[in-house]
Amino acid sequence: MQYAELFCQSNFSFLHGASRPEELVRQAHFLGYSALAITDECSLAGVVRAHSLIKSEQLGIKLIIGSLLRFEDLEVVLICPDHAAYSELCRVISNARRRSSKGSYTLEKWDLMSLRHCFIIWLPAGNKIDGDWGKWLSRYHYARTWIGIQRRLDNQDKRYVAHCEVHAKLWNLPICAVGGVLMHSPTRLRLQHTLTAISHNQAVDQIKSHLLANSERAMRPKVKLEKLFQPSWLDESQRIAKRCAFDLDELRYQYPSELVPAEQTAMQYLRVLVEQGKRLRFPDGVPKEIENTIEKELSLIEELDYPYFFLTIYDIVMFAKSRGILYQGRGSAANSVVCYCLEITAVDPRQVAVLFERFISKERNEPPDIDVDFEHQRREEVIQYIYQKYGRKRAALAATVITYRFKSAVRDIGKALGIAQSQLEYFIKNVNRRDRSLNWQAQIVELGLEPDSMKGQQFIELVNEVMGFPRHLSQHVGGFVISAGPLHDLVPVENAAMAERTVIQWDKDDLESLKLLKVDVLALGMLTAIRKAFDMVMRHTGRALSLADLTRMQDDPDVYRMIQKADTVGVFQIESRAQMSMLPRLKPACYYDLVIQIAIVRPGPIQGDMVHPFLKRRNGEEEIAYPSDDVKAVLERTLGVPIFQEQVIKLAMVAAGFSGGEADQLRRAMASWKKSGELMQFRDKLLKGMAERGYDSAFAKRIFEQICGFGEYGFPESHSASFAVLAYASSWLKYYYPAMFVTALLNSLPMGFYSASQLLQDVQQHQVMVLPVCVNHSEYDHLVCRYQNEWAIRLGFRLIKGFNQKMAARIVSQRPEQGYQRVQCLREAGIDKGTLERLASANALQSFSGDRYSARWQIMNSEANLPLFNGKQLAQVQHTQTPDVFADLIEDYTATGVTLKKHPITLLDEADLLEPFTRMNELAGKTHKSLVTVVGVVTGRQAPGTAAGVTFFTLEDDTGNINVVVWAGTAKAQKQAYLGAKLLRVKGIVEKEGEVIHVIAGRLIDESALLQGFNNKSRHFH
Amino acid sequence: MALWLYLHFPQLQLDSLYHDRSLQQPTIIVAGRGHSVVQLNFEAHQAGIRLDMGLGAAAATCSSLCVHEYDKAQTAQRLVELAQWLYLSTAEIHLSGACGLLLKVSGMLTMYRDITEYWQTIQARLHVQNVCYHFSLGYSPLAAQLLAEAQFDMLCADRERLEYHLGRLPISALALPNKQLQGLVRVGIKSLQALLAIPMLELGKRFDTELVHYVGRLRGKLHHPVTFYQPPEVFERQLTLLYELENLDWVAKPLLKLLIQLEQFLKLRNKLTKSIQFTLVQRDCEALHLDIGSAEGEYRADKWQGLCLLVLERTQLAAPLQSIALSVTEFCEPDEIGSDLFSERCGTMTAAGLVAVLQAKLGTQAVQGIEPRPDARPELATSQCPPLTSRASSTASLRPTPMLRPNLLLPQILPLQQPVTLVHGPERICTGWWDGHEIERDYFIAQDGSKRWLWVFRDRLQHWYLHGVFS
Repeated sequence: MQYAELFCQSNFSFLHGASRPEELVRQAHFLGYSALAITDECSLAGVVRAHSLIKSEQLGIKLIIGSLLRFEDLEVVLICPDHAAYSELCRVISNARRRSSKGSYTLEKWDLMSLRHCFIIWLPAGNKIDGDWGKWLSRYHYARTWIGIQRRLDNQDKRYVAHCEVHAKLWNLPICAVGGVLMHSPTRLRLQHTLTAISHNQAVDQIKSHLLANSERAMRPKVKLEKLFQPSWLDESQRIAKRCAFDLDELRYQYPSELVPAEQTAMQYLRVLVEQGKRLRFPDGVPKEIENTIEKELSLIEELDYPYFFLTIYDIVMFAKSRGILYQGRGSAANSVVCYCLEITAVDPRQVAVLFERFISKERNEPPDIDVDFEHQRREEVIQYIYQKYGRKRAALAATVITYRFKSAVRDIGKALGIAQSQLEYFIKNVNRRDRSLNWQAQIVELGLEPDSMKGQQFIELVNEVMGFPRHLSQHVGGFVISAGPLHDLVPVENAAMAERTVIQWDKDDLESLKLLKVDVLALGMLTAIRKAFDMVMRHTGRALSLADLTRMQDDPDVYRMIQKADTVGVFQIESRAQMSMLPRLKPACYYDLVIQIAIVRPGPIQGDMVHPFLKRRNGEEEIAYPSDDVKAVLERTLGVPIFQEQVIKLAMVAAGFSGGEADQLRRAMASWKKSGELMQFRDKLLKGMAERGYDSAFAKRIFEQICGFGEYGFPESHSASFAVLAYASSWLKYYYPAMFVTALLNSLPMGFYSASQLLQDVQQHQVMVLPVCVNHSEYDHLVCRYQNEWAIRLGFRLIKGFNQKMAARIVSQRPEQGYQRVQCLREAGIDKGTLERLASANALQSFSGDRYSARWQIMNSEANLPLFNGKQLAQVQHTQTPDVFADLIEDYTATGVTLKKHPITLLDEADLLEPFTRMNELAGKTHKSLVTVVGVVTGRQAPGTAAGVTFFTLEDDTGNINVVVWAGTAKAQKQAYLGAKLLRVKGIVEKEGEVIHVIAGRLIDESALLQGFNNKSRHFH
Repeated sequence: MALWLYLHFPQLQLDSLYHDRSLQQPTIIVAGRGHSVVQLNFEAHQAGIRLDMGLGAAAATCSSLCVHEYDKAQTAQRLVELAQWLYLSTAEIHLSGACGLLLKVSGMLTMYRDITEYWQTIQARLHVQNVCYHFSLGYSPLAAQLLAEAQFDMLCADRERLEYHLGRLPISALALPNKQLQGLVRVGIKSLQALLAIPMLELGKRFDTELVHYVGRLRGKLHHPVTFYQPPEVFERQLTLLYELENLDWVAKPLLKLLIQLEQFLKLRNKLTKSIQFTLVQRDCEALHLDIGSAEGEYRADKWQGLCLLVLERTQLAAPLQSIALSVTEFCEPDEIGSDLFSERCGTMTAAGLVAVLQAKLGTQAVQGIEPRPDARPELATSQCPPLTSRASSTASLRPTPMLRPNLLLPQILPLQQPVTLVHGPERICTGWWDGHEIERDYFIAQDGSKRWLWVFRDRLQHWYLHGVFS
């Protein structure tokens, strides 16, 4: 007997289906079904996964594309016999989805009436209304409609079958057998019940009437099906499946044609553009070998038929260029001379020639990868341009599948099992997912879950099962799919949560599986800052700068000297604490060193324990050796130590014998490691493969650890290369134009790693004067100005929390020549009370109103607003309260987050409230490993996943930032101070490495009581 | 100006948790969305937990922590109890907020020699209650409250001293919205002294009326609204019998006398009651307590008498009866529906009446209602409920099609003994994993040799059972 399942919902019918598409396909194949239709409700989001699995495992089962749709009381499954039907289904789903807000759909009768190609399997409701629908369906879709009979073996089962048979006779419709599958195995019934409870937002035992009474909606063996269904019904299903010939591989991506002038082919046009680019990028003529590279690249592009892809990106970046939006391309294909000529990147090939072997390759069989970063404040302009140019029908964002992660799983499953909310929150807050020594189950048991109780077991089991299940579709950060015809012929489109955004139902892996291209339009804060700094340099010094100019000037040793000192606050990528502690050890001295520097402080190399070997080899303390020539080719540029994701994948191929396809799977598994945990399946293969080829097993294990690390945070060389350009550019600016650079950074906040306060302290330590916000001098943005013949920063109104930009503009435009003299003048200029109060809080009225208290006392007087008093100088009752220094400091922090006056530590010290301690600037004089006590305001608290159990504290005293390292043990023993302190006294040991100084904490003492009311925000764990 | 005494109870709920202080473990009470600590005991404080800490932080600080959720109703109840208790010594008590009592002292001083004696009496009463409290006197209710909440804890009636201490309080002690407080701090007014120093007129120009009003009340210039505590009304009568009764049959008359008194009491107040308590005092023996309930409110003596007699039938005296007491503490409003003159049942007994009679006769537990539940497991598809509360009619709408089920389910599932013919089925039921009573059964309708229609099932092990019989 042959059987084809035509009605099966995966977990992409969110909170309903209880099995993954892959599980369903595997099980159907195992049970010997001839075909399986994945028919999620108004969605095709799960089909590609099923399709890829069948392809990669070469299963002998046919995948049918379909979807369950509901309209009023009618339930039908539409399935696609051919491409035309597929486009029709995509259109129907898109229309229904677009009519409704995210997550729901609204079908209209016309959608169903207009079907011309799809097969319709009608699932009668089993009541009187079926009469009307039977008539309607047989009238409009006679030859394409079947009645799908389900055997649920519930109370109504017999009656339902009889009912269906009556209707089949009545309307002369054929009957087919369908399973209505929701689970690949009956063991998923608990999960299905739990998901139902989650969707009703209640506990399982409160919604019993909505639960399935049995597990008959699991996939059933053929023997059982034969017992339940009449042979003719089973045959009919099989016949329908046979008529379905559509395969997802038929989908072909059509590029938008308007990019190419009418008389040229895409390739010709691309060559013309590259030719133009050459003249621009290499005004002195193109060096021979680069000319060769260009030719190689172009012929490869032609061979693989990718010219449109490059043209699409070229078009977008040209738009950005015309608007003065700074951008930078990255990704493997971006690091090519063609992209340099097309102005997609600013990486000068002469500097990084070594990279070009990894352009798009035939063997890897993957679509070219170019992401373009734009200024974060202006990316929306680019997105709107794309929508305008291609229209909403032809451009949409790729989806991101939001899946259950640990926290959401605990929360939802716990709620469905009726576990108290407070207990769940307690679990979530106290489980440390980074603790590798103890898995979460064990930790939860430690936190009081009874592991032997029924609830406890069910909880653990269900949480494990549901993790990785899709929860809803969200929009990808910036991956656009653009096509020649309407997108909804290719894939269903639905509304995103954000107004005016649409997403397709597939995510980036799905697109990749089907070889569809997407263009990544991403946002990067640093680009905004760099562009603003360029503008400011131009305005104040007349010097024009661009990213390409900076790279063309070649490496500047002074800039690298600054980087080696870890003097990199505010610089792109290499500003984090972990990076800063690595800089003096790695001592980057050229562009490629920066590329390595950026990539090395990542989970991959750290978990693979590759950092120390690399440092040793770089310092010449260890011999550089290669186990074989193949490995040498892969690892030569990183001294034989694998640092980049690409290298690790390549290693799997040359050292462990992975085929191209397997390597590709490995790469994808890495990307979704956290979600699916698929990586483990590669472990044995890798270890075995490497052992067979004679590699050391310890080395192999480290490689696998590294692969897992990349899974947490993949970081390919191609991205690092583009980031290094920005890191260098920002360092260059910091070195040569510190005032402009910091001003630009401040004007681009929020971004990066440091707060305004930290950035300003840093720039002050570099001898740049910072002038306070003043109603008579400031503008909305921070400004660079001359002060005592030096460049200085005048803080702007934007620093004041909650300040209105329009009001700022008004203050500036209405400002009298001699400046405002009274509060009343500002009132008359139309400045509202809230703004006045904010100005007073920021002490920006100081020039005429005295301290904050009296400024506010004047503002608050409501008499002045009465018409009679308008314009009159009012008699002021003297206000007697004056703020003390400490109060001023607190207010500075509350209003602006920044103080230019005395540091709290200075104040406390002057008030003699602190026991003896060492200041940051005195630490350099201490000997390595000596005991020391430091005190500071806690401005940063970081527990990076890359550093097992270590927390980095940043303490700020009046001379600078102190880096404190707290080991897990210390943290555990002194939880209170560790978790809560705002002002911390640390007794510990000085660790010096070159010019970088850490304090390894021994004792933490919480001194926050001294700062009552002190409101400095610190960055907490992220 | 009147003198007030304010009692502030910072941890009422905690105080009522344990009475044995020696056995305490660190305990906290949490409230709000962030589950922040609102009350904590000494042990918890020792462990490093502080007020306003989040639950997460608290739990991280101390591992063996006992956590309770703040219970508003319980706290309120406790406060009323305290008021009731103090009412025996002082007349005018105002329940202030969730955790404070305001006592008007002025009027009471005529009863006591002086303020000290008054306070000693109050203190003695509080001591018995074993609660933590803070107190202060004040010449305005608000002043007394602020000082008490600031833990002034001194019996001082000297106006100047009180004002001096009041002035030293920070602004944050005021029960004003945060915004107002910030407004004050932002012009440098940080203590009450600074606030009270500003002329009302200047304040009025710069702050809204709420603040001005508040300051007025604090100074005692504006009226502070108080409502004094009234003890609840109860009906309590005792009847000493002229001679001891050994037979309960004779008790009907004296009983009726009490019930008629109750009827009059209720009639005057237009109230009904659903339960009455009798105490039968027996010679040299423990008194016998009888609770008699009625499903619907009732005031008529003859109706209550009927129910009483039914209960007395089931009661045995251990010793001769000396006196009878009747007490009623809970009352209810007359039912709006009442009896409808035109409904068919008019004149006959109502369902509730019948239930009351049955319960009086058979005992409360013996009379139960039944209601359907949406559980797929047949033995759990119905459940018992208090009589006449079933929502059967409303839940019926959930099931569009009636299920084929026998009217009579066997109380115990029996192994199937006789040979049967399967007529209809299977209906498969596999569910119930969540409460540990998971079942996996195929149900059939079958007929046995004597043509009885049976409801049988087969379990996973292919054993057959009889579960019900169709009528």
